[in-house]
Parts: sequence; structure tokens; C-alpha cells
Amino acid sequence: MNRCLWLKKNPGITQVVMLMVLTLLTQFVSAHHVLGRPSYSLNADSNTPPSMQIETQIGKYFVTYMVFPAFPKPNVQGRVNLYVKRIKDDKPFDGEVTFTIRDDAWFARNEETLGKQPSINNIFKQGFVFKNAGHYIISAKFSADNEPYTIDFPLRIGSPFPIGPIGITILLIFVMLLVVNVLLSKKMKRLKAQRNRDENIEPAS
Amino acid sequence: MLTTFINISAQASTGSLMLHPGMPLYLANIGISILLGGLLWYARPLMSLQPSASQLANPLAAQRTRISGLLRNPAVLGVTRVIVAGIFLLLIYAGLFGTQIPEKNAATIITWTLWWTLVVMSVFVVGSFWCAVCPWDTLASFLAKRKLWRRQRAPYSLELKTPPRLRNVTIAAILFAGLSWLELGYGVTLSPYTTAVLALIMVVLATASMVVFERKAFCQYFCPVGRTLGLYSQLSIAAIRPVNSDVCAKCTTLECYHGTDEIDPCPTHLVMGTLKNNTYCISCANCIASCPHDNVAWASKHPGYESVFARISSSESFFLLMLLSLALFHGITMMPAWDPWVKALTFHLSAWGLQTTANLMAFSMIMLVCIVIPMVIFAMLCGLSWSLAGKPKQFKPWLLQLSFIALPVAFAYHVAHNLSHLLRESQGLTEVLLNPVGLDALPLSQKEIHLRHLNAIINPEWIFAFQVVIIILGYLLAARIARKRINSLCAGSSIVSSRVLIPVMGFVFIMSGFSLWLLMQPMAMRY
Repeated sequence: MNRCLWLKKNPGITQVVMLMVLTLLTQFVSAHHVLGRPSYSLNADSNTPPSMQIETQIGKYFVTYMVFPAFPKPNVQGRVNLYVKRIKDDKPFDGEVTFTIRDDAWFARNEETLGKQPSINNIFKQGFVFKNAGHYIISAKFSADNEPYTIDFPLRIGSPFPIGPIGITILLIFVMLLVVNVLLSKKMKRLKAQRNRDENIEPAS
Repeated sequence: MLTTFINISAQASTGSLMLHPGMPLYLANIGISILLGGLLWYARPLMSLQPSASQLANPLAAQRTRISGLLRNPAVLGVTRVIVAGIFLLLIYAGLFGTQIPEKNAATIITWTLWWTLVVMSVFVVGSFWCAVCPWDTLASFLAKRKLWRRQRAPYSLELKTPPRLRNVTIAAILFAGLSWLELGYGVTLSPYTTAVLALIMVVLATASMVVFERKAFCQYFCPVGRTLGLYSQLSIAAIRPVNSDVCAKCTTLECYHGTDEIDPCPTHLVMGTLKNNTYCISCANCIASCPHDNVAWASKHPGYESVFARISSSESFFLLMLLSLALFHGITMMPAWDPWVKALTFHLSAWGLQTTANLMAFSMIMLVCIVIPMVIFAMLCGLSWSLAGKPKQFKPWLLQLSFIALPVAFAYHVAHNLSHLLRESQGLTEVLLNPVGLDALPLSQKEIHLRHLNAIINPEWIFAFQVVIIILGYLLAARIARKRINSLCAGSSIVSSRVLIPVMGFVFIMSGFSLWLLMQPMAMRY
């Protein structure tokens, strides 16, 4: 009885458990979502610049995603090439792909649409220019056989600012040592004053 | 069956995952047969297996080694610490300023492929020796004391006593789970920059503890790596121990605890004469250097002895079980099925409007479940054995004492898992050592990465054979600990203890069997 009351008071717990059970039991036929893993690669036999490349399988499709250049910088033109082929017969997908971008910060919510691209020679090309360095997620979304597909790809713009962590570390350690030093000198002064006071008290005759 | 695995591997390798095939079925069958045989063997009546007089006697008949003689000079260890700290700083530099291609940067390769795999394996041979040369502590000690090895009152430390509430390893357990989350969920192992930042964070934490608390509270209570190695080092074959316990019994000055004018006291408040458990010894060798009787040395010991007789606190027990859960969780995340699970949950969470954090939340939720499940199984089976024993004493001490059985199972899987990482992913090590910051380094193509994984440093069959042997040894040791502990809890009653042992052995069997099953799966590698 008490347990039932506890569950009623904590409906969130029930929802989480239900969600996890459903997740494990459900077969997803209506939609697909995948997060690709990056692999930086060079094609030594061609004149193309270094690229970041991801290959992944999603639903009935095999997707290849390439970013040029491999390490894009702020305010420099970059490009995403997306190849989508049906696994069964290698037939290229001929619909449209929508590219969106969002900040990959933990609690960021802003999402922008980069563009909606048709297939040109079986490649979906999307250009981009970023003003700020950072970590982003590019999503490629398309619909096939009445099923939505979403593929997320990580994209880092610019080099991480290296002075930041070292500066913060040195600052933190400096502040810690300073605070401790101040506290210790106050303690020493207090002890010294106490010792002087004790020495100045004349013994009772 | 074997064909099925190869098919899975081939199919999965067409995706983005780079997989190596799992352990062949015949090796797993051998392992399972031995596990079953062991289960039957240990379930037989136990009266004849009371610890013998020689087993009860301290088996740590100290054997002096030349190393102990060398360690009497604190400068020897001091110089080693400086060298290790130098390498550590170089790795931070490489991580922050070098190439961000993970397989070409020393920060990721040395930290995750070499150090993190070898440090766990090294515990079996040299215990917690890593702690003695740990760069986090070296840098923190230098900042707070401005001395590297001679005794010096820390001029920048408040030297407060650690509050009683913090005198446990709960924080270390939480930090260890956090590290695993960062490693597997946030992908720290694939980012040289984040690896360097993590290293700096650990230095700040160690320094903060050093400037506030006396001795080395960070090493003793808070350090996730130190506590992991500390618990595992109960299973090591060597430790620092008294040569003659009678000398310690007569000692009244306790230099090992208080230190001398030249040598620091024991950083973790241990008295050598009463030391029964390796968990908190950080192998700093202060006791070797300070003992006026030259009575402390590195000694050989039985790997299972401490786990049979040592006491354990609630937080240590929790840490132990979490170690087992997290070790297995590492394997689970490398299975090809892992990504679909996370993606499925991510999809649901996204549908709830949590697009930006859905992936991390999904990972965290499944991680939590994976941590909890072995603990729940353990608690249930211990509860069953407690009921079968007629509910003697309270349940808590019963649970705590039996938690030692998780230690060899966790350690065995951890070592077996790390062996695969070490031998499959360290092929480009020479190149990284020659060019640690990866100047002008070019990334590997997917085909090159795949070939690396399939062509390990030694024949993959040998890797699998080693893994089976390690899991079996862990299982046998856990079974021995279970038997002795139950025997002790049931006060030697053979009828009770044989019945009571079954659920506990069931836990050891399930976890060891699951470890073997994990090793059979095709695994996604990092680089």
C-alpha cells in the first residue's frame, strides 16, 4: 500500500521505468535516428583536401558524410557532402535533405536550419561559414518510404583555446595558495600575540 | 556459431564502428566448463576446507628485495616522481597544443591506451606502486611543500584533520563513476584536449586537498584511481610489510606512522605493525626509509589472503561493487548492440523535447541501470544465502563481508578487457612516442584503423587464451573467498555453509560467465 502511494507521489519514476521498458521492447519501424562517429581520413590518391568522414547505417540506408576541410575554422568557408544509398540495391536516395545545426554545449537549445538541398550527382552538398569556434552538431534529416531519418554528426570549428585550461588551473592554484597563506599568517599572528600576552602576565606573588 | 560471430562482425564493420571479432566459441566453452566444474567443486561440504594453521598464520613472510634497499634512500623515488611528472606535463602540452587526431597524439594514446591499461595490470605484480610516483600528487606536494622528498612542514597547508564524514571512499566512488561517464559517454578518450583538461582538473583537486587537509587525504579518500588501485592491490602478489612482526610489536616510537626529521610520516595514517590490508597503502616507501630497525620491506604475499580476512566498510563495499559494474559496463559499451540501445532511448527522449541533451541523458540512464543491476543481483543472492543460513547476525555485515567476492571478478575482467585495448590499439605507439604532439601527422583512414585492430601485436588467439585464463583465475579466487567468508560467517557449520554458499557462488558464476560472454562479442575499438 505504502509503495503504491509512493509511486503515486513520484509519477516521474513510473514514467522513467515505463520508458525504459518500452525502449527495450519496442521495434522502431516508424523513424530512425543515429549519431555517427567521426573518422578523420585522407584519400591519398586524389587531390581533395583532408576531410572528416563518417560512414553509418541508418534504417534501410547507408550514409557517408564528409566535411571539408577536416578541421574547419571560424569565418572560413566549409562544406558538407552527404551520400545516401539504399543498402539493398545501392540505389542513391533522390529526395531532399534538410541540414540543421545546433550548439553541442550540454544545455544549449538553439538550432538553426542551414538549408534544404536536392541531390546533385547523388551528392547532397551544404556549405557553411561559422563565426565562432566551438563544438556543433549538424543534423541531416530526410524522409523515405514515409519514415523520417535523422543523422547527427559532430563538427568542431576552430582549435580549442589552449591558454584557457592552463590559465584557469594556474589561477585556481594561485588563489588556493594565497587564501591558505593569508589564513596561516593570521593564525601565526594570533598565536604570536597570545604568546606575548602569556609572557607579559607576571606570575602571581 | 563461430560463423555467426564473423557475420556479425562483417556486417557491423560496414557501418561506422570498427570491430574486432570476439573470442572463439571453443575457448569460451573451455572457460564455461571450468567455471561449472569449479561451481560443483566449491559447492561440496566445506568442513574439510577450514583454513589450515599455515593459512591462518601471516603468509607475508617478508622476503627482502633489492628494491627495498634502494628505496631506503627517498631521493631514488623522488627522482622517479620528477621524471613521471615531467612526462605528465609533456602529455598536457601535447593535449592542449598538439594535433587533435586522437590516434596521433601522445595525450590520448599514452593516457588511455598505455597508462590506464598498464596501471591496472601492474597492480597484480607491484600493488599500488603507481601511487608512489603519481604525478598528480607530485605536483600537489611540490606546490604545497616546495620540497620533493625531504620532510618539510607544508608552508601552504592548513593541515586540518579530515572531517569524519569524509573519511570514506564515497567521493572516490562517485569520481570514478564520473570518470567512466566522461570516458565512455563524453568521449574523453577520443579528445587529446579534453584528456589534458581532465589531467589539469585532477592536479587542482589534489592540490586543493593538500592545502586544506593534513597528510594525503586526496590519496587516502578522494582519488578515484588511487582507491581503485588500492582495492585491487589486495590481490597483488607483493606489498610493503614488516620483515619481522615481533620487532614491530616491541616498537614504541612508530617512525612509520610519525616519520622522522628527514622522512615524512605515513601519508595515509598506517602503522606498519598492525597493517593487515593493502587498500590504503600508497607504496610511498616512507616507512621503509624511516624504520630505525630496517624492518620494513617489499614482501611477497598470497593474492587472496587479504580478501579472505580483511574487514570492509560500507563505502568500500559500495566501491567494490561499483568497480565490478563499471568494469563490465566498459565491455557493454563496446558491443555493436550498444549504439542501437542508446539511439533508441535517445529517440524517445528527443520525442519528449530533449533534443540537445537526449544522447547524453540516454547514455547516463543506461549507465545507471548497468551499475545498479549487478548490485541488485548481489544483494538478492546475498539475501537468499542469509535466509538459508537462518538469518544470523544482521544482514548488513553479511552483505559487506561477502562483497569481497566481487573484487577478483572485477579485477579479472578489467585486466582481460584492458589486455585487448593494449595489444590491439598500441600499434602506432612508436610513431606517437617519436612525435608526441603529432606535428604534421595525418589521420588514419578507416581501413588502416580496421587493419590495426585485426592485426594485434600478438596473435589474437593468444589474447583470447590469456583472457580466458585471467577470467578463470578471477573466478577461482572469488570462489575461494566466497567459501572462506561463508565458512567464517557460518562459524564452521558444514551443512549450513554448503547450502548457504550456493547463491553466493551463483553470483560469482553469473558475473564470470557474463565476463566471458562479453569477451566473446565483437568489440568496437577506439583508435
